[in-house]
This record gives sequence, C-alpha cells and structure tokens, in this order.
Amino acid sequence: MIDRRLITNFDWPLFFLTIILSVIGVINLYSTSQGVLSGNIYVKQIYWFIIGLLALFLIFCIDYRFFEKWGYLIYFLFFLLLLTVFFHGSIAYGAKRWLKFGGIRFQPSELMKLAMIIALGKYFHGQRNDLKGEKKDGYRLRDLWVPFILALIPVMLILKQPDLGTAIIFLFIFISIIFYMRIRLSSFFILCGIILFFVPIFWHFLKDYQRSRILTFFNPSRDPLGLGYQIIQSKIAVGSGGLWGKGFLHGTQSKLHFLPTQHTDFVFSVFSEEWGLIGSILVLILFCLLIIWGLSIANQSKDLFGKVVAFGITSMLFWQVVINIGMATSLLPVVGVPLPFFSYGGSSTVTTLIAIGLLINVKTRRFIF
Amino acid sequence: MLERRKPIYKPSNGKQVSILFVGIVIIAFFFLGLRLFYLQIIKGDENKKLAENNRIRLRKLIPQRGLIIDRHGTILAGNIPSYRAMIVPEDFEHSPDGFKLIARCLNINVDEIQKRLKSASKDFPFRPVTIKTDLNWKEVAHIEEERSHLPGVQIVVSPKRYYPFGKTCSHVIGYMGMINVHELRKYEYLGYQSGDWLGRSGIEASCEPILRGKVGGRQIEVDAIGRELKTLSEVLPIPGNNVILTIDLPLQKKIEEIFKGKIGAVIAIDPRNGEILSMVSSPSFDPGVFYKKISKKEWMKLVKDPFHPFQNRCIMGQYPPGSLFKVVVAAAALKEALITPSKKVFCPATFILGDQEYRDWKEGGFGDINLKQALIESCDVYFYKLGYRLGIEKIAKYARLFGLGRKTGIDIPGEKSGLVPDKNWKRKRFNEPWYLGETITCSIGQGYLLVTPIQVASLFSAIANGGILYRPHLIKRIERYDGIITKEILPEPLGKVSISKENLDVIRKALIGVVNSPVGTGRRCKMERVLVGGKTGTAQVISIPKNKNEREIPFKLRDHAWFAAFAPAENPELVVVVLVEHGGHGGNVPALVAKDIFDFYFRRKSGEEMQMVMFKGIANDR
Repeated sequence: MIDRRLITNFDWPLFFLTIILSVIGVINLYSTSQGVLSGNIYVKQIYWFIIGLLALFLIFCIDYRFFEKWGYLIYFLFFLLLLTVFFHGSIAYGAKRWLKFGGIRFQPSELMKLAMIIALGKYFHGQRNDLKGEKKDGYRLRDLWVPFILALIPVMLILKQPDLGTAIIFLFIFISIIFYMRIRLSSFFILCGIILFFVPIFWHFLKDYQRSRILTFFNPSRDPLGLGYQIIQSKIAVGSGGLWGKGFLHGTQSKLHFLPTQHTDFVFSVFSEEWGLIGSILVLILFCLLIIWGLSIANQSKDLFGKVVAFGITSMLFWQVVINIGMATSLLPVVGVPLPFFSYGGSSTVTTLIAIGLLINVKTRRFIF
Repeated sequence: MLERRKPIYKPSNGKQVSILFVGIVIIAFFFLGLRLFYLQIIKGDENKKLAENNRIRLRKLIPQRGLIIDRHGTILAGNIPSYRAMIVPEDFEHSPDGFKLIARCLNINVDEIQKRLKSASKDFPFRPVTIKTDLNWKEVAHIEEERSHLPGVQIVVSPKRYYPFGKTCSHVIGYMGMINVHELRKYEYLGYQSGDWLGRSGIEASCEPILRGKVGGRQIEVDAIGRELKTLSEVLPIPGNNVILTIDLPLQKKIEEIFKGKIGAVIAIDPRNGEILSMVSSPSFDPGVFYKKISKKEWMKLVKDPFHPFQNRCIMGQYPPGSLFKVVVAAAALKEALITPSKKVFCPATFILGDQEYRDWKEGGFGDINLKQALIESCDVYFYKLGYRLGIEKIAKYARLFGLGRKTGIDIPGEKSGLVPDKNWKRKRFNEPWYLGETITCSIGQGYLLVTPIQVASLFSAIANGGILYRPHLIKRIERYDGIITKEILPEPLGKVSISKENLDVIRKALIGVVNSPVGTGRRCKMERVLVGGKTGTAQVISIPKNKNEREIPFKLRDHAWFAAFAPAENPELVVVVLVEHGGHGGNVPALVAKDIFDFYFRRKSGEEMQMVMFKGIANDR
C-alpha cells in the first residue's frame, strides 16, 4: 500500500522540528516537576508523546483524501463527543471539559479543532467545484453560512463548558480560513459585526459565577488573589530570566511555587526564567519556522482540501503559540490556551502531533496527483 | 485507492497570499520577541530583584456573613471575631527555640505544632498554616509581645458564626459545615476554598449565596520576618446580606418552653399570607456545636440519637393525618353534592364491607348524625361511608387540591412531599390493584396517606382564609448590610381551593364546634375570650386492640397525636398545628399545647392594644 514516493518525499524537516520542540517541551516539564509540585508529570507527558507519535504515523499512512471523503462524518462524531461532554462530562477546576475512559481523562474539544478544519476543507473544496472560479473578488457572506454553522456549533458548546480559550482558538481558526479563502473585505466586517452581536446573547445565558470568571479573564484586577497574582508572578518569572536565564532547574519563581498552573498555561514562563532571552528567542524562532513551513505546505498543495487543511492547522498552531506566549508575558489577557509541545496534557499533545501528521501527509502527497 | 481528482483550484495569486501571511507571522513573532527583550533585558534587573526576595503575599479578607434576624429585629445568627494563630512555613524559623516559644505563647505542646506544619501541603510554602483557633486575649497579647522573635507567625482575625439563642429556632436557622472536596469541584462553589464554611441546613443553606458576601483580598509586601510592610493592592470584602425572618422569637421561645420534653412538631402560621411565626421541631440541637471541638463520642451521640434532633419534623416528618383528613373528605363530599349539611346519616358501631368490619373509635356508634356532628365527635363510620361513595380517585383529587402530596415550596431545604395514594400510584409502587378496603382506611386519614406538618398548616390556613393556598415562608425580606432592602417577600398564592364559600363556612362552623361543643374532641382547647376552631387527629403507628390501656403500650408503638386549629374563628389570624409523636389522642396533649400558644399570642396582643390605647389616652390628655 505504501507508495515508495511516500518515503522519499517524507517531510523530514518538519518532522525533526516537531521532535526538537517536543524534546525541549518535555525537558522543561521535567523542570516544573522538580519543584515543590510533587508528581512526575513529565513521565506521563513522555507516554503521551509516544502515543502522539504513533498517531502521527498512522495519520500519515492514510491518504488525506480519505479524511475529505469522510469529513462530515468525522465532524459529526466529534460533535457527538462534545455533546456527551455537555451532558456527562467530568468536572475539574470548575469546568466540564473532559470525558473519562477508564482512568484517562480526555478533552474532545482539542480533536474537534481538527475535525472542524477537515469539514471546512471539504466544504470549500466542493464549493470551488461548483463555482468554477467565478468568485474572483472573494466570497460574500451569504456564500458562507455553512462554514459559519460548522464553526458556531463547537464554539457554543465549548463556551458552555466553559472554556473561553479553546472557543477563541476555534473562532480564530475559522476567521483565518475564510480570510485565506478570500472573503470580501466588506463581508468580513459584517461577519465581525455578527460575532459581536452574538456575544451579548451568549452572555445572557451565562450564570453569574461564569460571567464573573470571564470578566476576570479580561480584567485581572477583579481578582487580586487569583489571576491578578498569576500575571504579576509570571511577568516576574519571565523578566528575572535576563539574557542567559537562571539555568536549568534553577528557576526560583517556579520552584517556590509562586507561579500557578506552571505546567499548563504558564509553562513558557518557567522556560523563560531558566533559559533567558537566548532560549526564549530560540524557541520563538523554532515556532516561527514551523508555522512558515506550514504555510508553504498550504501553498504547495495541489488541491483545495489540502490547502485548507494545511492552512487551518498552521493557523491553529500560530494562534495557540501567540496567545499563550502573549499571556505569559502579559501582553494579552489570560485565557487558558495550551502552548503546543510545551504544556502538559494528553489531549493537546496528541492533537498537536496528529495535526503535524496531517501536515506531513498533505506535503508528501503533493506529487502523487 | 481513491479516485484521482484533477487539481481544480489554481490560485491566481497564490504567491501574494502566502507572502502576506508569512509577513503577518513574522511581525507577530517579532512583537513577542520585543516583549521578551523588554521584560528580560530592560526590566531584567528589576524583575530579578523582585524574584530574589519575592515578598509579595496574598491575604484573603473574609467578609462578615449576613445576619439572620427575627421579625422584631432580634439577631438569631450573628458573628463574633475569632483569633487564630497561623504560621507561614517558609518564613518561620524551624528551630527548637522557635517552637518552644510559640508553644509557650499558645499553651500547646511542640508536637502538635510540628504535626500541623507537617500536615500542610508542601506545594505552598507561603500559604499560612493554622496552628490554633479561638485564641483568647492572653494568648493574642503573648504572641504580639514576642513578635520580633517569631518570624512568620501571624494572628488572623476572622468572623465566626454565633447563635445567641442556642437551641432555639435551630431547625429554621440551620447550621454550617466545612466545604468538602466533592463540593469544591462544583460550579456552584466556585470561589470557595478548602476550609471555608457554608450553610448546611435551614436558612443558612437556602440563603447561602445571599448570606455569604464577597471575599476580598490584599496583596502585601512583607519583610524578612514576614511583617507586613505595605499593601500593594486591595479589594475590600463585601459583607453578606441580612435575612429577616417571619419568625416571632418570643412566640417561638414560648412554644419551645410549652413543648419541652415532647417529641414532635409545632407550627404557628399567619393564614392571611403564609408567614410562619414559629416553627418548632423537638428534640432540637445547638447549631454552635459544629464550631466547637467536640469529641467523637459526643458527636456520635448526636448523630445516633434515636429521636434524630437534626431532623426538622415540620417539613421532613411524614405522618398519616388521621382524623384531620376528615376535613378534606367533608369538603370533597360537599363539593360533589353527595351530602347536604343537614342530612343525617345512620352511623352504627361498625361499617361492613364484604367480610371486612371497620370499627368506629366509639363503641356503640353515634346513631343518626349530620356532617357537623360527625366532625365534632370525629365519627369514623360517617366518613367510611362518604369515602366509599367518593372513591379513591376523588379523595386523591381533593387531597391534592388542598396541597397534599406535593411540596409546599417552603424556603428551607429538605422538604418532603408526603403521599397521596391512588390507583395509579399503587400499580406503579406495588404492581397491585387498589382494594376498596384501602379507600375506607384512607377516608379517615390512615393507611398509605402521609402528610407533613407544614402541609397541614397550609391546608388549615386555606380553610381559615377562605380557600387560598399560600406558599408558607420563613423569609420576610432581605436587606443589604447598610440596611437597604433588596428583596421583600410578598404573599404568594399557589392556588385557590375550588370549594364554595358556603361549604367552607359549614366546615369552619363544624371545626368551631369541635373545640367549643361539650362533646367535641378538641374541647380542651376551648378559650374564654377567643373563639377557636380546630380538628384533632390520631395517626396510627400500629393497629391496637381496643380494650388495651394506653399506658401499657410501648412508647414507640403509641399513636401520633395531631391538633390543628385557627383563631379567632371569625377572622383567623393564627393557625397552629401541633404534632406529638406517640402522644396518644389529639384531643389531649396537642390540644392543650395549642391552647397555651393561643393564650400567649392573644394575651400579648391585647396587652399591646392596651398599651396603644393608653398611649393614645396620654396623647389626648395633652
């Protein structure tokens, strides 16, 4: 089954970039687990990394047109999983985001990102077929109601969990893709208007404590004990790293537990404190390379489905990296978004690696047809 | 393999698009890099200093919990300051001398301090650990004197719940408990931390979000020995709202005094609006007990008490209504026009159905009697006959009309719904058909039928006020800490009992006869100045042979005794329901209890009126 060209054309640079970032991520998690925070999350992360790699190869072996063929079904299956979370999800940290299989907690919203990208790719591919390139000056809003619904369903369900960070990522991926598909500028502004219109309606359905949580996300001084404190401590952690950093395992902010959620949302602060500006810029460059590489894959792909998928995945990685690091350096408000390859978490690690698998898949098969 | 597809889309300006996106990406990362440069190089030294002696501490500011106040303004649940000694493990000097000093200040031994420090989470070396709670003044002063020798030791003042009247009204007020792990994970308790207290029953529980207030916080900078240097930022706590109850504390205390030593429930309610003036469940408990350190033995004694002091019998106790239920059957029969008030029915000593014999409580029977007489003397056979003619479905329909079989919606948690049986219920519950004989026992309020005292209070209120079922309630209004009223609870009619005024009048007159006729079962409640109407009831615990003396029956098997009454009968303003568990006949103990309650209530009222007249007189003289 496996074409020889698949091996010769395998995207080794992207694969190595992935491995390098993952290894740095695990090493950094090792450092966070050396502090007062007991537990060996880095070991668990290694397991997740291995599972993710297996998934990456599995995804790579399946021709990506298979995903296009079953695109809506995949979307529907993950939609059902999200619904299950809505009704029977397990609760932790005051949110209902997880499904439990045996002892393993799993967050369907992570993989739903990919399902949405695939469904959008299938939709746009089909569209171009019908339109025969008539839409030279881009899509109008009325042409986009299907993709709009495809994005809106998961966003609503995830906001209800509540998981503001993931919902925002969904929205940004969607907007990036329709931008890529060339939406008319006027239509784009109308779309932004519609989204703004929906915000108060959704707001109305939230309970008081959920509203207060979201308000605190945007205005940390509402909560000087929780988030406001985190932001200050994260800034101190990053800043005290200086040019060269305090050295591996020598970060004081994280070791003395000044830094909350240091293995998930604020994982970059730990890295920055220990490796300084040099290390941080290096990681930024690696991420930047990865994303530009992803954009070039989208550019090289010969069919529209491949283009949308590659672009969608790249935009997903881009937004997660920018929002997470922006959060850690207090450029952006704190919304819980994991940093790919760095943040601890099974669902996000496996999802990221599957996404890379899809990228390699698109890249490798660009010559086949 | 999948079918080959020709490339369809060839972006005319693919290159330009990707250059645009690459540009966006590079600019975004450039800004991130710039930010890092700013934080790590330009502000680097400053941040390094901050990190090296990171002396920013967080302190939670606990709000005053809202007060629970009776209708006259007396505080039933308040707060008193409580001092506790805490240690910040990272700032504390873990030396033998340090331990000895603090042990001497607090009158505890060194082992206990070490045990407490060890049990604290290692994850949070800056989170204060409680060493001793409820310090007295001497201990506080001692710590303050040795301040400079005790780095990392803090005295924290926090409000503590205080119940000035102890066991009085405890079932209404409720009690507090510490939040548990399970609750901490729930949405509703977001913002709570382990070690926080929350209401567990009564008003404390149902008004938890109202009473709690908002936790504040303070970021402070401390020096090397943990002394506060300056406040960096602060959000003040907002005290909880006060809850003003409909409870009339003097009446409540009086009833508790009257009811002392008995087991059961008493409710005094205003039938004109559903305001509960008193709610007594006996035996009672002291809600302050949860704040004290009590030994496991004492605790087990409370929990395992066979008389369940924590149970609020007024809303959780479910009992057969006994003859009280005859009122419902009578109303149903009048409405269905099965009888007229004057029609006489022959009532022998027994009612025979098939081969079953149903006895009347009175040997020899009553002979020819009408509805009024049947209610006054609580004739069983009369109601067997009515029940037989009505059938169980009609009986159930009217019982529900009077609010039985469902929760009244009272504003404290834990209410039970009681039970109104019918054919459908029995099929579902036992998978058995309904037997006629069960209709007969049901028509005098025995058998499957179960009611709670609060349902009876609601039922008799409806009879007293002309048929309106109000939601019984304990909260009168809610005030902010500065006295501004945020919510006023108005009478909430849940429905109107569709029995005509004339028919209700017939029943009311009969109930007046129950108390005031020399042969009435409730004659012991007869009062000189106020006209009282009421009904007795006896709820069978087990069927007992007729000739046995009450005193020979074991306490646990004796019947429960009911008495429900309203006064003044012409224009009722107080309904009293008394239930005495294993109290024998409703006409004895409960009727006497009700009489004492009415006596106190109306005596006090006329006293107040007298005073008013006197004041007016004085004013007129001037």
